[in-house]
This record gives sequence, structure tokens and C-alpha cells, in this order.
Amino acid sequence: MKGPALVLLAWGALLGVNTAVLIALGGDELPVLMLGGSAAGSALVGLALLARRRRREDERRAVPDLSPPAALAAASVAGLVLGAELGQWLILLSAGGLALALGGLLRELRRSRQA
Amino acid sequence: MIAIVAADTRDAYGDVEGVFLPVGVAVFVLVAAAIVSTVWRGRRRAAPRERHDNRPLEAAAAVLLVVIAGVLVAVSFSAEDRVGEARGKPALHVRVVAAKWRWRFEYPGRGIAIQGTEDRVPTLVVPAGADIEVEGVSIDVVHAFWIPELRFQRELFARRPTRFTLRFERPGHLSSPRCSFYCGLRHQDMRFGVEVLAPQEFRAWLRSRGAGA
Amino acid sequence: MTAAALGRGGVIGLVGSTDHKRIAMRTAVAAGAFFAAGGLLALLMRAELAQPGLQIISTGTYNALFTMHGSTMIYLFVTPFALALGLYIVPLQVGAAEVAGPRWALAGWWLYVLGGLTMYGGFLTRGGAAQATWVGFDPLSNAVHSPGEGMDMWILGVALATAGELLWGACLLATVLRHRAPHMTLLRVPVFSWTVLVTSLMVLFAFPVLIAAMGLLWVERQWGGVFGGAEGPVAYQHLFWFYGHPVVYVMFFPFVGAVAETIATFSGRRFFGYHAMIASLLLFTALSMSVWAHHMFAIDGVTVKYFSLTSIALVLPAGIEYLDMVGTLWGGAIRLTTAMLFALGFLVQFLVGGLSGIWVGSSVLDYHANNSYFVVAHFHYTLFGGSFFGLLAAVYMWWPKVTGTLLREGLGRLHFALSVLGANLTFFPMFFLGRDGMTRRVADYPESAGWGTLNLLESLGALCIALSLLVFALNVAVSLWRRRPATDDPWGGHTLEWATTSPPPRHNFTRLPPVRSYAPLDDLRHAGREQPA
Repeated sequence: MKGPALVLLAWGALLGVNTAVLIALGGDELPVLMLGGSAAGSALVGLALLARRRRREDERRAVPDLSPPAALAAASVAGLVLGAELGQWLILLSAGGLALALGGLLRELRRSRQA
Repeated sequence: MIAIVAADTRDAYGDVEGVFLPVGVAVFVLVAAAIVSTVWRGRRRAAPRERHDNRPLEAAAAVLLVVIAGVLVAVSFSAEDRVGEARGKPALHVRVVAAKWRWRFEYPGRGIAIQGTEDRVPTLVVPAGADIEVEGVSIDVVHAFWIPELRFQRELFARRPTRFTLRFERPGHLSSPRCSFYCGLRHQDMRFGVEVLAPQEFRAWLRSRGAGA
Repeated sequence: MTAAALGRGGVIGLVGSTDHKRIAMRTAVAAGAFFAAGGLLALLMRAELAQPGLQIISTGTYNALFTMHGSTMIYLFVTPFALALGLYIVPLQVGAAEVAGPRWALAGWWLYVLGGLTMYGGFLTRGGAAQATWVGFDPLSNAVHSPGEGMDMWILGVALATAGELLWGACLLATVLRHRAPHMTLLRVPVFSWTVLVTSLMVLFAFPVLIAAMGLLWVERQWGGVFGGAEGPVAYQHLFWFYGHPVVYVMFFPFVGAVAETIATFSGRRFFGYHAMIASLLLFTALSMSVWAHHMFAIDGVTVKYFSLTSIALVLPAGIEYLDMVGTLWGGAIRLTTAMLFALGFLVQFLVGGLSGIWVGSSVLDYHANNSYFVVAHFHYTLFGGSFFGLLAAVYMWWPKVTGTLLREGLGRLHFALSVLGANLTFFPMFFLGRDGMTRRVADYPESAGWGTLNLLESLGALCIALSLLVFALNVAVSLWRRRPATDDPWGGHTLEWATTSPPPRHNFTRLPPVRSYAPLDDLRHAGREQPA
């Protein structure tokens, strides 16, 4: 994964230089934290990519054409968030939906491994 | 953290504009002309040219762009330094208080306060040709103190005073100053006037107002 | 086209298809609907501003209109459309059968749509929709100054839509990094896909900060204690703008990539200066993560010189990109199709936007221009004259690939002409109004200021823009009703998406051509010409 790692490391390095200049020009804590954090984050992802071996095409998990559980999971997350405003009933309903969705996703993953 | 921003704001703005505007216009005209002319000539071309890279050209362009950026940064930084220059003792201290959706101007130590009402915007009265140190604060949301004639604005916060120095060169009345940071329902009405008086007239005004201290 | 959009399986397909092409098309349609809503809000605003005095709507309504106009265009239209363009085209351009993480992409679509609907749900609440600008500045947005559920719905909606967009960014990054066709090294990835790659880097590191800011704002509104200190409001702006600046580049880069492909295709030569372009993309996006506090120059204590330096430094990568665009046009055999016209319009108009951006990158110039109509002009030139024209170039160029039909060129030219007239009539006068002292976010201005004539011209320009969009809608309708079928490669394209059917099959390719550069089909054409007769 050399190429992809290089991209993330290079971008992280550019952000690192920008962070250094910010510190040199007297930046405050929060800006330095955010910019430096992004630099470090990008470098970390780059290092992680270096460590990984590239998965071959046939090792990739087959994804079904339709995935209602994924849709339900997203809708349930939205419901959980909205429930904070609209009421506990929505939170409970969405928690149930999320549980169902996660079950469905597990079934999809098991089925694709068998295939 | 506290920057004493000095009064040369309109001059400094003019100096920067004097470089940025011609450079901007020139770049626009050159690039637009390049686009139009390449398209115009290309309309009549049957077969496209092959070369799709020119490293020396890119390197030369990069150098030119760094130089342009360097000039723009230098001009802007030098103006920023002038605007932030600490000057001598200011002639007057004024306290600006911003609230939804009105202004209040206080002259500490002289017991004068000018406040806007429902029907009338307040007028800040100041002497011409003198440094005026301003301390601005809000009592609620973020507001901003903007005087377009001076090319200058600052955001005002609650519990976080903002200090700057202004200088009005000539007597006259300014009616364009206003809040420039959206602050809610009647943000558009949050204006104020500035009356710049000749130094003697200003001293007379102080005496007439101070009588109520 | 309808069948392709709805997909197999009817309603279940609509709900749960993992085909990146269908997810992308649905997103584009939803984004288009939000665009229409946001555009109507703008027309109402311009109707009110056409003359001094409050004629049509109240101040409170106006404040909700500009809040929702900005919020819609940024969170619900241009950003998702840009990512959707990537979702459709990138797997094709890199020769992949699917996007990486299709179920995550599907989840992203649902979060985006539900987020958008939540934001608009604010209009149905007692207090009306949010009125605290698209930024949601604290303390204006806290429970004291913006009581009511409309503001809460806005916060939750923004968080959900952004979460969906974040998932898409991750999918796109993984696709370009790990799903390329054999022999497609990173330095053979087409320009458009590279712009999506750097876009997703910004999405990955900037978008979570917005979600955090929304979470903190939510907590502040329920229980307080987050932004209440003296530095709270400034901290909110840092958190917000750390996202708020990169997002405008998320809204820019995929379209500059589309323009690059359009220019290359209709000049008949591959993109000029590919390596310099890639380097400039990486520098440009790294800088774009480092400029955010130029939105905060007017705050005492901000490290003004740093953010001014990084902002003005943008001329370097931007200049290289323009050099490469002109270099591609130079010596080309130019075909002025509608797509090409919009791409050229993008180049000229974005230049105005970019140069005015360098202007406000100077702190001293910004002390006057900040929050004035000068800034409104600047960002409408970059976003409308720029990104939206680039969006239309992308639509006119890739329409045959996506739908298997052709848009009409005659109507396309009319659309282009009206767009250019409308865009410049609406936004150019704003530079002068701003310099003269007209501030933004106001429903009204004093008659004595003498701003009535320019405002009227701008409102007429807005009508012209609306007219141009009606022409576009007509073009779409005619093209779908009286279909002219498109071949696999109607334009003589350079990249792999043109090496499959229009529209592509479920898994994109039955056969991949050899990949030896960033313009594989152009390579094939050259090799074909060199063959003995």
C-alpha cells in the first residue's frame, strides 16, 4: 500500500508544516490543536496503510444488491438523534430498529462469507 | 491578546488597495485573454497539438506566482503593522457598548453617556485629528462596530473587551456606521452616527454635556 | 432513466440499493430538489431587496430565509451533489466494479435526506425555521437568544446530513486508494478522480469537527456550560470555521476536476501538466485546511498574519491549475459544446471569485469588506459562477453516460447565455455595494444610501437566473421525452467511464481496456492511428 500511504503521509506533512508556521506566528491552543491534530491524523492513517497488505479482488466480501438493513440502520441512527428533540418514543422505536438492522447486517455478512 | 489597533486605517486600506486592485485586474485580463484567445484559435484547428507537459514552464510559473504572493503578503503585512502600531497617549477614551439592537457610547471620567432609543440612533461625538482609544463590549450576542468611512470594523463580545484606536482626520458627519455582525431580528436597524467636531468645538461640547455629571 | 433511477426491486430498490450509480442519482435528484427550494428562498430575498423599504416580508421571515438559503445551498445541495458526482463517476474512472463500502454509501444517503428534511422541519414549528445564519453563531444560537425548536431541528439536521456526507467521503477515499484497476497506479488516476481524492481528505478531517460543534451547541442549549465563558463565542467560531472553510473547497474541487475532464475532452487532447496538477491539488487542499480564521480577522486576538499568509499563498496552487487548464486549451481542436461553454464560463467566473478571495485574504482589506456585500459577491462568484457552472459542465458532459440519452445543444446554449447574463448581473454590482458600506444579512437598507438601483439590477439578474433554470428543466424534460440514444462514447472521451455502455451495467464493466496512463482511451486512439492500414 505504498502509493496510498504516501499520499496520506505527504498531506500530513504539508499540514504539519502549516501547523509549525502557525505555532511560530503565535497561534492559540484551539487552532493549533485542530490543525496539528489533522496533520497527525493524516500521518497515522498513512502509517496504517503502510502496514496493511492489499486485499486481492477475490478476497473482497460480496455485497448484496439490496441492503434494507443498512438503510434501516441509518434511519434508526437518525431517529435516535431526532428522538432527543421529538421524544422518548422515537428513541425507543429507533433503538429497536437499530437492533433489527444490526441483526440483518450480521446475517448479510454471514451469507456473503458462505458464498 | 489585546491589540491596540491604531487609527491609520483608511490610509492603510488605500495603500493595500492601490496594489491589490491593479494586480487583480491585470491578472484577470491576462488570464481571461489567454482563455479567449486559445479557444478562438482552437476553433479553426483540425488536429490538436501533442505535447501535454512542460516542466520548465510550470517551474517558471511557480516562481512567478510565489513572487506575486510574496509581494501581496508584504504589502498587506506592512499595512497591518501600521494599523496595529502603538501610538502616543490618546486624546480621548470612549467606551462602546453594543446590545440588541442599540448602541451606547460612554465617555469614562466625564460622566457622559449617549444612548440610542427606539426612534433615534445615537451619535458618537469625537474631535478631529486626534487619537481616540475605544474599548468595545457587548452585553449579549456578538455585534460588530463598523465605520465604512474608516474602512474598519471589529467584533464585540460579552466579557471580552476589544480595544482599538481610531482617528478621524476632518470634521463632518458620518451616517453610514453600523453593526456588521448579524445579531438577530433588528440587526438592520442597529446603526449609529459619528459627528466629528473641530477640537475647539469638541471641547465646548464636552463642557456643555459634562455639566450634568 | 426512471427505471435506472428507481432500480430493480421497485420500492425496496429505492430504499436499499447498494449500486453506487443509483445512490448517486438519487442524491443528485434530492440535491436538485433542495436546490429548487433554496433558490426560491433566494428569489424571495431578492424580491424584498429590489427596492428600499419592507414591502413583501417581515424582518423575521427574511432572517429565516437567508439562514435556510445558505444552509440549503451548502449542506444540502452543492456539497452532496459534489460527493454524488464522485460516487457515480469515480468507480468508473478507476475501473472498479463498485464503490468501496456500498452499504456505508447507502447509509450516507439516508442520513443526508433525513438530515435535510429535519432542517426544513423547522418551518413547521411554532417559532419557525432557524434564524441564526448558516453558521449558527453562538451566543445568538443558544437557548436564550434562539429559543424554539426550529433552531434545534437545524442543529440536528446539519449534524445528520454532515454525517452522511462524511460516510461518502470515506467511501470515495477508499475507492480511489484501494479499488483501482490493475496497472492503474495512483499517477495514472484521472484528474477528476484525483480531485475527489483530495476532497475526501478534507471531508475526513474537517467534517467531524462540525458534527462535534453541533453536538456541543446542542448541549449548550439544553444544559449550558459549553460556550458560556468569555472565550466561548470565539471558540465556537474556530470550531465552526475549521469545517466552514474546507467545505467550500469540498464544493469546489470535484467541479474543477469535472471542468478539467471537459476541457481535455473537447480540446481533443489529454490534460496538460498532470503531475503539476496533482502536486497543486495536494498543496491547495492542505492550505485550505489552514486558512479558516480569515473569517475571523475582525476578532481581536486572532493570529491575523498567519491566516492572511496561508490565504494569499493560495495563489500558487490556483495559478498552476489555471496554467494547466489554459495549457490544455492551447493547441487544442476546440469543440464548443454546451459542456465546454459551461467549463469555460467556470474558468472566467471562478477567476473573479478567486481574485476577490485573495483581496479579502488581506486582513486590512477585510477590515472593511468583512460581512459586507463584497464578501457576498466573492462567494457567489466562486460558488455560483464557479462551482455551479462546473456542475452544469459535468451534467452536460456525463448526462449521456448516466442516462443513455443526449441533452439538446440548442437549448443548452440558451441555458448558458441566460446563466452568464443572470450570474453577472446579480453578483457583480454587489462588489460595489459592499465597498460602499452595505452590510449583509439585512432585509432592508436606507433610501438615502442610494443603493436602490444596483439592488434592483441584482434582483432582475436573479430572475434571469431563474429563467435559465427553467430552460434547463425544459432541456431535461425534452431529452427524456423525445429520447435521442447516446452511444458508449459520444464525445471521444479519454477515461475509462467511456469504455462501457451508456448507462453502465450493474457492475460497470464487462471488459477493461489496458491502462497505461491517465488517459487510457486517448492512448488506444493513438495506438490505433499508428497501426498499419
